[in-house]
Amino acid sequence: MSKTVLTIQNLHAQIEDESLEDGKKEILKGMNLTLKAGEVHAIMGPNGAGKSTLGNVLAGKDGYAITQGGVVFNNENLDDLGADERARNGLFLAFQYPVELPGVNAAQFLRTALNAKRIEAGEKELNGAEFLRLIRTHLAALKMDESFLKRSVNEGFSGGEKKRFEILQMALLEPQLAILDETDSGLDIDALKIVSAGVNDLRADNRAFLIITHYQRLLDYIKPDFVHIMADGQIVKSGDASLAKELEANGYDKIMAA
Amino acid sequence: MPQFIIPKPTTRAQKEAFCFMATRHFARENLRAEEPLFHMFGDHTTILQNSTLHSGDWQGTVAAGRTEILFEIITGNPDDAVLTDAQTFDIHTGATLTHVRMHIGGHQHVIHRKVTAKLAENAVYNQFTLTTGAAASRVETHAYLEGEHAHVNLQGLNLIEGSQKADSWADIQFIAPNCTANVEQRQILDGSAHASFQGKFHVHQAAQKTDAYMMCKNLLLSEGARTSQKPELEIYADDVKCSHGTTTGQLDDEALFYLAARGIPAHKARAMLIQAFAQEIASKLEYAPAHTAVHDHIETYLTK
Ligand SMILES: Nc1ncnc2c1ncn2[C@@H]1O[C@H](COP(=O)(O)OP(=O)(O)OP(=O)(O)O)[C@@H](O)[C@H]1O
Ligand SMILES: [Mg+2]
Repeated sequence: MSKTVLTIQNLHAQIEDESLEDGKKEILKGMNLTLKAGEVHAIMGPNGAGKSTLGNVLAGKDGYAITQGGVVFNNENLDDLGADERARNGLFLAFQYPVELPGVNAAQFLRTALNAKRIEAGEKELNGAEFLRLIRTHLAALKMDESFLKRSVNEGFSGGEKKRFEILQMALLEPQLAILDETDSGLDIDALKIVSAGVNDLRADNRAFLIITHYQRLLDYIKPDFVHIMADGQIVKSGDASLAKELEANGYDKIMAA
Repeated sequence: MPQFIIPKPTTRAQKEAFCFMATRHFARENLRAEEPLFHMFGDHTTILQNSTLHSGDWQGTVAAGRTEILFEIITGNPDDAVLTDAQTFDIHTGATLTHVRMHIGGHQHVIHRKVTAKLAENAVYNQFTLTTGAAASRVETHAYLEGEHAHVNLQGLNLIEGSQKADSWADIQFIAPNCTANVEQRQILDGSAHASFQGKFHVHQAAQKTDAYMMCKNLLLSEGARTSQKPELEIYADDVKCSHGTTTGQLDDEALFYLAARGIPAHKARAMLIQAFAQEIASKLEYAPAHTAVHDHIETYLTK
């Protein structure tokens, strides 16, 4: 039996925003999902279903309140941990919209992130030269130019470059659970292959993936063990990879009515 | 011999005039360091305990075609020093003066500095001012673009906290046609610090094709920090391009979350973003020794 990495149980979460009528709005309405080590799960679902909200809640973004249920990651209650602690414990979210950080040097950012994790694990921090050696191999694998290291994080990156940079971070940080939020959107066909290969390289017995996507095409490259359909804050249907194909052929309405 | 003349301090009063001022002359062709001019006052504490008012008037000329650098660092004790000075620079045809000022002394200093720069045809005046010191500081720059194609480039960064006050003032007079100016100010304010910025472009009737840009960006790190800004345009020529803007904000929550999601602890994430905001303007400093000094000081200041 492989180890359970993530258990989401009857998760209800609302967004807290002053601009909303009652200052809050329920987005996740009873999510249930279990990810075991070694598994790849895909989540598909119509716009506004709450997929990115799920990613944000798992990663620990402020502004959400869990009103019922909860999430256990590696035997720890996620609610007890801040976003940075979750990340250092091995949870990684590749953003649907990576954030531009003008003036924050990419190399320094990557090294700080890696060393934060190493400090947590009681490992020695990498110095500049050691880091450079390591990052070069990752850059090469993703066919990214070294000049990215000199730039500000995500600033002026094209849509596809931002997504590649997310995967670079994932490869560097070697998370236990990687949540990829529409990492395939905005990638050209070659980039899709490269990014998929990056993900496949990381597939391992001790690692789980939660891949949010709108397109079956990605799942041709990254073969999921499970496909879930999410609608209105819940998982409404689960199946194997064939569910994605069915969805592509028939659309959400038919599948959900069935 | 370098053509740029700053009077060597001879009198006792002159020697006391600046907390610490290093002036280096570099010739354009071969980076030749002359004997630096040091006006120490940080180390002359005995003198300062008796007299806390220091003032000086300085005049400098940059001869046609020369490139000169004036690099001043005001630092040190005593805590209650007052520095007030006025500098006048005559920048001749095709000459460039790069003037870097680091006001990084005690938090009780009072600083009032005034610069008057007169620019001939194709002359350039670059000024960069970093202020982290002084209880109250006021820096004034009056530039007169008297010759065609003259260019003024002013960058200021105030990084202040507690009850510090910093006042930056720029008055750019466009007199000849085809002149350009770039005025960029950044303020990072913590505690109940207050920074004010006033910038004025006065475009005279003859100054057609003036191209001028002014921007002030404020980063507020606390509830109590305050900022005020007043950009002013007074334009008498009809074919000009003048723009100005200001932004005031706090650290971006999305950016903080992105850093947190990569495992970076909150205090470190904040420091990284503040530093990025500061270094963005510091990175415009092309003169390498000053760039390094400014960069290092910002880093030390923010990680103290
Ligand atoms: N700050 C907010 N205020 C109000 N509603 C919000 C806020 N943030 C998200 N929502 C709403 O929550 C719902 C779920 O959004 P979410 O981004 O999770 O959807 P999604 O499934 O990722 O959609 P997509 O496929 O388009 O990326 C949407 O209806 C969205 O409008
Ligand atoms: Mg989304």
